[in-house]
Amino acid sequence: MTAKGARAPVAERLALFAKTRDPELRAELIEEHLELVERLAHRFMSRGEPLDDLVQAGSIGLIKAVDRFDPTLGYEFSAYATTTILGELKRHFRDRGWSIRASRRVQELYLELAPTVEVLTQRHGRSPTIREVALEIGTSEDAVLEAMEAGFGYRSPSLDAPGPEGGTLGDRLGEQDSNFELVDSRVTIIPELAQLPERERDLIKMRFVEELSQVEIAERLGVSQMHVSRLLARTMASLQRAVEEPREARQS
Amino acid sequence: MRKTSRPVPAVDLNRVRDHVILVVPARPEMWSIVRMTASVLAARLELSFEEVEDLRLAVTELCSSCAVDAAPDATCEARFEISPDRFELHLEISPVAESPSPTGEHGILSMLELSEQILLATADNHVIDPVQDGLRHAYLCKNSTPLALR
Repeated sequence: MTAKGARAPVAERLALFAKTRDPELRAELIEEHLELVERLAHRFMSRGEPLDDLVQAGSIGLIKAVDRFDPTLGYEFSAYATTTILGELKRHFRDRGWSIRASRRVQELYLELAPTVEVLTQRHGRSPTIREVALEIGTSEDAVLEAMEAGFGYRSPSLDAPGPEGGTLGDRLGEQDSNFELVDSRVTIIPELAQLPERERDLIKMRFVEELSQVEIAERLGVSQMHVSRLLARTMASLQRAVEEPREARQS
Repeated sequence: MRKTSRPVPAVDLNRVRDHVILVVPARPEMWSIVRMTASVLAARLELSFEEVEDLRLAVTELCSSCAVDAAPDATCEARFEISPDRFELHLEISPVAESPSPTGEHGILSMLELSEQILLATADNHVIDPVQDGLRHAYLCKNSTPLALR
């Protein structure tokens, strides 16, 4: 690979690739923009899809962007690539119909959206309107919009803002996931869980059974995300103690 | 409906411009309310499914970008202007700190740059003004093409 400093500007190399279709240059341009894919993929992480899957879906968009970009049209490549990457990420979510946390009615409706949109797009030769989707499914426009909102796998960019202790809110949320290891052995800690106060049990259930994010729990309980973070940390610590104490007692 | 003999003034529907104003706390969990309102209004304009999806991303980005450095008790006024061929959203968030935002790999600048790219990709036009007198104004619009021309 060429040293970064020695590279020609992206626009020049994109123009060169448009003419030569050089596979090495193509690989270089793709690799160089993978960070854009990763950062856009992070935006869609609030529904528990593995980041690797999202990056993979987004990378398809990036490859399409590199292959199809026409530098003579005068657009910025990053804007064009963002459009195609977002398109692939949206398609990924729509096609997968991943488990959304909503009523069964809304979940079922959400799962109907993707095939209906596809059928109507083929029938009309354009993306359908919300009204057309609602008519085809036999429901109201409001219900379609509600299902779209329930399935909105998009993470607020505020989570990328730096926090008071450095790092981002998203980073701090990610750290909590290490607690999954403890809860993974839930068969062994069921007696300890039963000893927790009801409120703390509910919190554990929301975080590790329903797999809600801290932000989602905060919304449900009507408290701040930081408050949820503190409650979770405290609950996990007392659970840890409850698990360790009998073990230490057995050892002593 | 009762008939009236009084002549009803003719309304040119092509010139009607609806205004909807929503005021919410400027916090991330409130963006779903702004987003939902935007999609209901966008559906009235017969924006396509894809365009409504894009609009939802754009509204989320605009709200979040606009609320950077907002005070914990800041409010967000979202003013929607709907005409037959265009969806427009004006956001005003206050109070917002005027101190320069930190920059760096994980800093606000790179976050806003990414937001900028997403807004370019999902809205037809947008502006995020610098903070003035503790208030930040932002705007986005999405044009609607008549169904017959799509």
